[in-house]
Amino acid sequence: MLYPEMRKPDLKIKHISSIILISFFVLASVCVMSAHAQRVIDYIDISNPFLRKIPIAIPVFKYEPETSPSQKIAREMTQVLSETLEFTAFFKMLKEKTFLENLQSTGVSGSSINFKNWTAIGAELLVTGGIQVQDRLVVVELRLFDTFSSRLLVGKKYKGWHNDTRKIIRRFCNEVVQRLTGSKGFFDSQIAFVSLFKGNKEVYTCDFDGYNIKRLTYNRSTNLSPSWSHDKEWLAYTSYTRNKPDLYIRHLVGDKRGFYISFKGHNITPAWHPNRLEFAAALSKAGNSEIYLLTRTGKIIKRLTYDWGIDVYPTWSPDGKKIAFVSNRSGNAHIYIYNIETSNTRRLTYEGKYNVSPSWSPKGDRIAFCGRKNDQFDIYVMNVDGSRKMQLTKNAGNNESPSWSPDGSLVVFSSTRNGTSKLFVMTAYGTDQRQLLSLKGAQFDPAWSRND
Amino acid sequence: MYAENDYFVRSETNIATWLLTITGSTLGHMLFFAVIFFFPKWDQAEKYQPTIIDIDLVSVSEQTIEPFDELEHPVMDEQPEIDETIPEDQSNNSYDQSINTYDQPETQSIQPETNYEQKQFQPLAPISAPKTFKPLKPKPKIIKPEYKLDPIPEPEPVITPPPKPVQPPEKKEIKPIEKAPEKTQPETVQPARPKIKRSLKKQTIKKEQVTHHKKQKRLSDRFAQLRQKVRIDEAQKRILQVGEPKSTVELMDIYNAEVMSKIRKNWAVSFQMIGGFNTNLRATLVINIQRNGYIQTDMWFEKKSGNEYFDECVLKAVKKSNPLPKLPNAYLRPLYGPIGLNFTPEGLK
Repeated sequence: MLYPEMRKPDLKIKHISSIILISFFVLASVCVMSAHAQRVIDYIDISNPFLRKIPIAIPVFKYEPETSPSQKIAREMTQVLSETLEFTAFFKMLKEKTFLENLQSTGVSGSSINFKNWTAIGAELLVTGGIQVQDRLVVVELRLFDTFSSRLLVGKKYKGWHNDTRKIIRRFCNEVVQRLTGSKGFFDSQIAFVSLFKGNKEVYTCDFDGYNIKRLTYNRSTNLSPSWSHDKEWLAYTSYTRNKPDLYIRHLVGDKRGFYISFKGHNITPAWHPNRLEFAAALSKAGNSEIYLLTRTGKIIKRLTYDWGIDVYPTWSPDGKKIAFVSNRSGNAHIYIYNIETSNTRRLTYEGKYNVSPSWSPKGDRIAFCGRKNDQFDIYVMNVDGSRKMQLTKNAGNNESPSWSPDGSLVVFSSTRNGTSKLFVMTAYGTDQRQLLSLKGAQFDPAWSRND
Repeated sequence: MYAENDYFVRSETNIATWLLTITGSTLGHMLFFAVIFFFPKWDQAEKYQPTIIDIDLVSVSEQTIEPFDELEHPVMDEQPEIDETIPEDQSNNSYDQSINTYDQPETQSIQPETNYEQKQFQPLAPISAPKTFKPLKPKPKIIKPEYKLDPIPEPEPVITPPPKPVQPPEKKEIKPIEKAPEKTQPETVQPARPKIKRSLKKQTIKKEQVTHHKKQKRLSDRFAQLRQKVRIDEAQKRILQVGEPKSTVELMDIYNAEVMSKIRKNWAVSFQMIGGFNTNLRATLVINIQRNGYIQTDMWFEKKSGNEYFDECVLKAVKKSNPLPKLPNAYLRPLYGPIGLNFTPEGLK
C-alpha cells in the first residue's frame, strides 16, 4: 500500500514468493503436526501394587553332615527365620512348593546360585543358609541376596550352641532389616504387659514375638501400666499392693534394690525418659492429678503441669524435650503436648470426648492414642501437630493402650475382638493385625521396650 | 494476500539477494523434508496413537481406497478447467471439512496402504486426466489382496459371529463417502487456486504442480482420515448397537489393559518402606514392546519418583513381567512403543 507504483511486481519474484509461502505453510503444518505427535505417547497407568510387601524366598538351609538330626535343625532354623522376618510385615514369604532350586544341591554362595530360578518365581530377595552341626555346636552361614541384581546384601557367619539358634536368627534379622530400611529392627526388644489370671493382675514380659513369656510380679494384687527404662534394665509399674496406687521401680537384669514411691494420693502412669534414668508420672499429692518429673529413686525433680484438671498418661518425645499427656482441663479427656524447655502447653485433639493413653513414636513424627467413638475404643494415629489423623482399628471390639515398636514400624495394643482382651500387633498403618500371644486369661496394658 | 504480495514487491529492488535467500530456504526445506522422509524415526510418535485407529480400518475399510483414487485424480484434472465458477457456493463446507481433518493428524502415518496410494498418485497426477480413469480399476485389484492378508489374523473371526449386521453398514459407509468426496474435491482445491492460476499461466508448471501435489496429498490424506473417522464412528455405533464385546477399535486398549494387569500383578511395594499409603510417589518408565511381547532392553525413566526403593520396585515389576503378551496380529508394526508406564502407589490400602 505504501508503494502503489510497485503494484506490478516482477512475475518471477511473485511466483517464487507464492511457492515459498506455500512451502512455509506446509513446513509449518508438518512441524506442528510432528511436534504435537511426538509429545503424544501412550501412557498406561499402573497403580495399586498387587503385593504390599517384599517377596522373599527362604529355602531350607543346606546342612552338613547330611543326617536326619542336622536336617531337623536346618528345617527348624529356616522356620524360625521365616516367622521372624514375616513378623515385621515387610516381607511376603514365598511358598516352598514353588521353589525351583534346592540349596542342598546347589550350594549357598552367590556363584553357585542361578538367580533366574528365583526371579522366575517372583522372589526379589533370597536368603540362603548353610549349617554345619558339630557335636553341640552349630556354625551358621546366612546370606541375603537381591535376586534381580545378583548382589550380596548381607553375609554373616555365626557360631553357637544348639539352643542359641533363635538368637542367631534374630541377630541376622537385625542385619537384614538394617540393610533394607536403614534403621535397626526390633529383634532384641521385649514387651511387658499385664495379665489377669485368677482375679489378679500381674506384670509379665515376653520377647517381641510373644515368645519366652516370664512372670514378673507375684503379689496377688493389681499391677498396671508397666514402663521400660531406656536401657531396658528398669521397669516401673503401678501396684495396689498396699491398697493404694503406688509406683514400684524394679531392676530386671541384676539384683539391684528396687524403689517404692508412695506420695499422698495416687501415683500412677510412669513413663521413663528416653535417654536418662528419670521418669514422669501422675501424682495427686497436690490435690488433683498432675504430671511430675522424678528420679529413679523417687525424688521429685520438677512439677510439670499446673492446672485444675486431671493430668495423666505422660509419654516422652524421643528427644526428651516434650511430653504428651492426657488432661480434662477442657472438660473432656484430650491429648496435650507440654514443652519442657519453654513450658508451653498445646492441645492436639479436639474430636471426641475421650482420647487417652498417648504413645509417642520412636521416630518422633507420630503419636498413637486410644479414642472413643460411638462407645467403641479404637486406636488412632496422628502427627505431632494433630494433623493427618488416621484410624487404625475398626469394628473389632475395643482396642486400647497402643505402644510402638522400637523402630516405629509396628504397634502393639490390646483388643477385645475375640471376647476377652488379648494383645495384638499391627503395622503403623493398621495393616497385618494379628494376635501376639495366646495366654490364659485377659492381657492388656502392653509396653514395648527399646532395643537395648 | 495483497499485503503479502506488497511485501514481496518491496523487496523487488534486491532481486539477487532475494534469489539467494529463496534458493537457500528451498534447499533448507528440501534437506528438512529429506530428513523427515529418510529418517522416519522422528515421526514414530505420530504413528503410535493412530495404531489403534488403523487396525479398525483394516477390518472395516476394504473398499476405502477406491474413493481416494477417484477423488484425487479428478481433482488434478479439473483444476485447470473448472476453476473459479464453483468455489464460492460450497467453499464453506470444504473449509469445515479441512478443519476437521487437521484435528486428526495421526491416522496417516500408520497404514501401509496410504503409503501405497501416495506413491501411485505422484506419477499419475501430472500426466493427464483421461489416463487416471483407467488405473482406477487395477488399483483396487492390487489393494484387495493386501486387505485379504490383513483380516486373516484377527478381524475375520471377530466379524463372523454377527455377519448380517456388519456387512450392510459397510456398504452404506462406502456410498456416503464416495458422494462426499466428489462434492468436496472442487471445494477444497479452490482456496489454493487463486495463487496457482496466476502462477500457472505465466510461469513454470512443474514447481506449481509439485506444490500442488503436496497440497493434494495432504488434502487427500485428510479426506482419508475423515473417512476413517466416520467409519470408525459408525463402526463404534454399530458395536454399541449390536453389543459386540470384541471390537478392533479397542484392540490396543485391550492390549494395554493386559500389559497393565500383568505388570501390576508382578508389582510388589512394601508400603512401610515408602512411608505408608498417602505418598505422592510417581515414576514413569518408558518401554518398547517387540512383536513377540518381549520388552526391549533400553527402557528408561521419563520421571523418577525420588525414592530409590520405589524406582527399584518399578524396574523389578517390569523385568518380572518381561515376556508381556504378544502384540495382537492385527497390529502391523514390528514394535509397539514407546509406551510410558505411570506407576503410582495409589490405592495401596
